[in-house]
Order: sequence, then structure tokens, then C-alpha cells
Amino acid sequence: MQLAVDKKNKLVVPDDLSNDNLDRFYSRLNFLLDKKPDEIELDCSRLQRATSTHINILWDTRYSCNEAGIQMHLVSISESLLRVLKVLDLYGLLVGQEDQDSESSERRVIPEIDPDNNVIEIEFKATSRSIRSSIVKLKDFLGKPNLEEIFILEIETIFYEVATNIRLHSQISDKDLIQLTVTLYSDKIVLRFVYPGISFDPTARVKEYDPGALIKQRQKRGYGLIMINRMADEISYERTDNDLNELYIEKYWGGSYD
Amino acid sequence: MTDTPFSRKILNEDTIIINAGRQLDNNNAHEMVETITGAQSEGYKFIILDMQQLEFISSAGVGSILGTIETSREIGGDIILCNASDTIIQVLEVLDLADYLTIRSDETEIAELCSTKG
Repeated sequence: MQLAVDKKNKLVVPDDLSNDNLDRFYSRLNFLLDKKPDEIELDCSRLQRATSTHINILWDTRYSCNEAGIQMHLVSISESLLRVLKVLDLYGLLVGQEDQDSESSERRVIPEIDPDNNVIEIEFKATSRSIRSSIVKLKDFLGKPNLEEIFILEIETIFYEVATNIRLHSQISDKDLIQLTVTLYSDKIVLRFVYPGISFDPTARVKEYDPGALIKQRQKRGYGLIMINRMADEISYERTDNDLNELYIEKYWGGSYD
Repeated sequence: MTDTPFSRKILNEDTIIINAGRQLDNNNAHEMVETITGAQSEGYKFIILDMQQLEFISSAGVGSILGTIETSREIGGDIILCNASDTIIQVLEVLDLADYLTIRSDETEIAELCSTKG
């Protein structure tokens, strides 16, 4: 799987520790280290269960960053990884005092997440009825950790717009299934869509958005991708080796609600 | 998410109220377009869109408003979004629409707005 690095020098720790993925991870780490940024973010969102190899990766990265004089921050730490780091007395060493302080300040706006109930998987068809019933399940799941109403509405809207755009652009049938995994982390929510059909990348550049001009032109369509891109904090897409579409959408708890 | 057809209430010869219902989405946005354009063709300059019950608006729902508002404004009227919840207004603000749409909650203010523009 392609490892994502965004403009903030973020490096995603792979869950699948194949030789190829490890090679790509370290190759990208070296690339970032050569750039000598002020900081590197190590995104742990894909780590549901941390093995010793994963811990070694975190430790290697921390060590390399220290040697290069670059700050490293772990982000999107799942509750299970957090427990492992604390049990191994590595939390302070890997997360660092500064991050502990910022994490504790971030936690003041973080909803209550039950670590044993922070994932939901929904399989649905690209029909109105199936999308509607999936939203009910999604809202029920999001209702449990006391999320703000506006946050739930935005997640609902993102889901609805992605689902309807998949239906519109991927040319899948009413029988095809779309897989959605929603995961709650300490700092964000991640929606992962996997869907068949022709390649449809919602992250494709959205044309410059001028509401005034669109009103003058009486435009009624085309606002869905704009809504998705504006409501999400991070979006990434890829076409997998087995001809599926995979879409990751992340939304941070802090956002505009701080 | 399909709603019943949107109910209308005539205020005066220039003004009509349309109830936006609970959901304005891809299933009923085209009906909203028809309801608005129908009111416009009947000569109502001001269309008050009552959003008091509205819980969800999709991109198609937004488009149904943005795609029809210019017709009202060209004749000196407007589509006024009335009694929208904070969450719905937040969705509109995400799209930078708060500056382009007329959003009000006070009925007296709305009445004055319609009479001023008329």
C-alpha cells in the first residue's frame, strides 16, 4: 500500500509489515530526514495491534529524528497502542513531554471514546435505501461517544456525499457492495471506503469555487465534492492492485470547534 | 430520506412560505426546485424557505436553492432562509454561503425585509 506523506511531513506507519512496505517506509523516512524539516509526524492510525516490529519502527524513527535534530510527534495513537507503550514504559520516551502536554490539552476537547467500541464496519449498496439505513447505523455509532451535533452532521454529510458520488461516478450496479470502516482515534475519526467500479477519485482537484458566480449561473449540481473536501481534514485515494477503489477520509476532533 | 411534497403558505401577493421539511437531499431536491420555480412563475417575488424542521441538507439540496435564487433576485425579490438551526447554518458556512444567502430567524425582520425590497 502506498504510504501517504502530506505537506506537513507526515509519515504513516504501515500495519502490514511486508518487506516492500518496510523498504518504502524507511526510504521515505530517509527522504524526510534529508529534507531536515522542523518536525515529522508519525501517523499511527493504521496500527490496530502493535507488534514488536512496529515498536521497533517507532523507536528507530525517534532515534533517527533525535540524531538529525528533528522533532517527532506520534499522532492518531489508538488506545491499544497507547496501552502497549505505557506497559513498556516507552510512552514518555516516544511521545515526549511536549507531546504529552499537547495531547492532554487536546484531550480536553476530545469526546469519550470507548477503546472496545471504537470501530464499526458497514457494508452497503449504492441504493438510496441502503445508504439511508447505513446512515442510521453510523449516527447510532457516533452518538455513543458524545460527539458534538455539528460534528456528527458533518460526518453524516461526508458519508452521504461520498456514497452518492460513488453511485454516480463509479458506475457500479445496485448489487455491488461498498465497504465502510469507521474508526475513532484519540485525535480524529477515519472513514475508509472500499468500492468496486471504475476509478473515481474524489480528491481530484476541485475547480475554484466561487459561490457568487455559481448563483449567477444558476448552477444546481456539483457541490458534493466541494462539501466533501471542505468538511474533511485529510483525504487520500488509491486504486488497489485488485482493481478496487480505496478512499481514506480523516477529520480531527479539534477542527473548528476549539 | 424522501419527504412529502413541500407545503406552501401564501402570506400576501408577493410572498409565499415553503416548508423545507426534515430532509432536503438527492431524493427530493428536484421537487424543491419545482416548488420554488413554480412559486416564481406564479409571480411571488419573495420565497421564505422555512427550515425549522430541517435536519439534513445534501449538496443537491443546496443546489436547489443556489440554482433558483437568481431568478427571484433579478426581479427585486429573494429566497429567504428562515429558522435554520445552527448546524444547518454551519453547513452553509462551510460552503461560504452565509455571505451570499439571506438567512434570518426573526419573523418581524423577515417581514420588513420583504416590504423594504418590494
